[in-house]
Amino acid sequence: MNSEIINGLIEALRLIFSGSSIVNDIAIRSIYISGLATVLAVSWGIPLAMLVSFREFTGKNVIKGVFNIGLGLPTVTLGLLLYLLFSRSGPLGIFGLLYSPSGIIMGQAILITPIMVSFSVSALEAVNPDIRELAKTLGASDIQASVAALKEGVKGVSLAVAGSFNRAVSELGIALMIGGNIRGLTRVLTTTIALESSRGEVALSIAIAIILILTITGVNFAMYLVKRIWLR
Amino acid sequence: MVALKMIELKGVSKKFDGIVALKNIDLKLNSNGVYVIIGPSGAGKTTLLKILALLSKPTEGHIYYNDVEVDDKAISPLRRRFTMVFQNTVLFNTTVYENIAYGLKIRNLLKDEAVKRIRDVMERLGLNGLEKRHVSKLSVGQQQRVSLARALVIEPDILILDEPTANLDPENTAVIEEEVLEFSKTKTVVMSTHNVRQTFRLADRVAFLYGGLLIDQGKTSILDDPVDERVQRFVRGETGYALNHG
Ligand SMILES: Nc1ncnc2c1ncn2[C@@H]1O[C@H](COP(=O)(O)OP(=O)(O)O)[C@@H](O)[C@H]1O
Ligand SMILES: [Mg+2]
Repeated sequence: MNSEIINGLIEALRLIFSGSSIVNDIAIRSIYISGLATVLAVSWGIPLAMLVSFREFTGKNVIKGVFNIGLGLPTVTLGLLLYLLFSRSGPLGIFGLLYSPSGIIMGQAILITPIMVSFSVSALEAVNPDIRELAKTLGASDIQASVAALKEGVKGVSLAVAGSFNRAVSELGIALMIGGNIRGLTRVLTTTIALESSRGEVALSIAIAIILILTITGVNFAMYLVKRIWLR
Repeated sequence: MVALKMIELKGVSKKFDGIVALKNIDLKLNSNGVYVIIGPSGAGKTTLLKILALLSKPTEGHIYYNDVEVDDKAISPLRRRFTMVFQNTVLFNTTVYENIAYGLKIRNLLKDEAVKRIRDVMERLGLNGLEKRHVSKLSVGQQQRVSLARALVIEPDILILDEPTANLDPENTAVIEEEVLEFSKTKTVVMSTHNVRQTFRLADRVAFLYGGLLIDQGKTSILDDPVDERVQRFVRGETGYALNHG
């Protein structure tokens, strides 16, 4: 076992430094798919979080509760549900999402929405409520005031974004069930690891696992830099 | 646009689930100068100022600006004509400059004009050289001066100040009082305080608020020789039984 780990490390280094185009393609596809899923989840998750955090309305706690429960949603459960919806005979079959990158993107976006919303809500609810009043008395519209409060909570919200991307890029259930692990099309890092280890290619699996971790680290570092620059 | 001069509250009440913070307030402000809302803590001063600043809606009653009743549609544009400085200093988590620039950015003021106004107001409030300083690294007095600078730079028609010197030392208090008097020469200041001496120093007109009720209003003489027993007790308690306008 030990030697397998060492072989895996050596194999990982070799794959990374030889610039293996297959591994590169898979890593880039992982980032692309999960990155787009994150962008989608941001586009509806953050406005929803702002609504829940800054507005008073009945049913607010129910919404929060639903997203909190959603945090623990097993990926295979969501994968199965989406499989039934996306399959040719399913209600969304006409969109041809099954076994396509778009299908994984949609699935992962749904999967990570609870993280995006719940973590952002707790970050935004921690922002001093007077900030919105301050912005308004300085002339801001309701939306501008909410943006000012979002800026105050940007640290927590960016953690929500990073956490969402991390969950998306490291999940297996949806990529496997909706994507189908088709080489050159829907094969991502996690499905490659599952495939190679089931084939007994332990060294290669470890290599890809290390590349997955490096990918996550790299993307998170890039997000950190963007945040630093944005906040100056 | 006609300058905003006249504010009138008619029968304004405010309830916070169960607690009555303001009861049937009638108040009219219609000229330059300093209007002081004085009263003990819990009297409803902050609640009243937030209603005047259109940040909070009364539970009952009507608000008129320049004789026109404020309805929901008018709130946003009207709010741009005046600004409120809060009792507990609230600052954006950024630099002094960015804090002061906020209202000008919202108004899309031309860059040159904005830079000039900001430089001018920072000079007046003794904030020179602090442009790039993060607000968390300022003293309490500097923070309160930043929040006043941020309000003045907008050049509002009416300036609303909620106990602007409550937590300040005499030196910072003097700087702020000077700005209040200067501003009030041409425009209106509405400020709250629980300080009788400050009221005598600044006020052109006074309203005494107690338990959500407007007990009396008029010239500062209403504090000199109070008719109402509650006002009398407050003024004496504040000044140690000896009235001294100093
Ligand atoms: N948001 C609020 N929710 C509940 N009660 C409030 C709220 N704001 C003020 N009050 C109550 O209204 C009364 C008046 O408060 P306030 O206007 O802050 O008085 P002051 O500024 O004169 O100290 C107090 O009894 C206070 O507890
Ligand atoms: Mg108060």
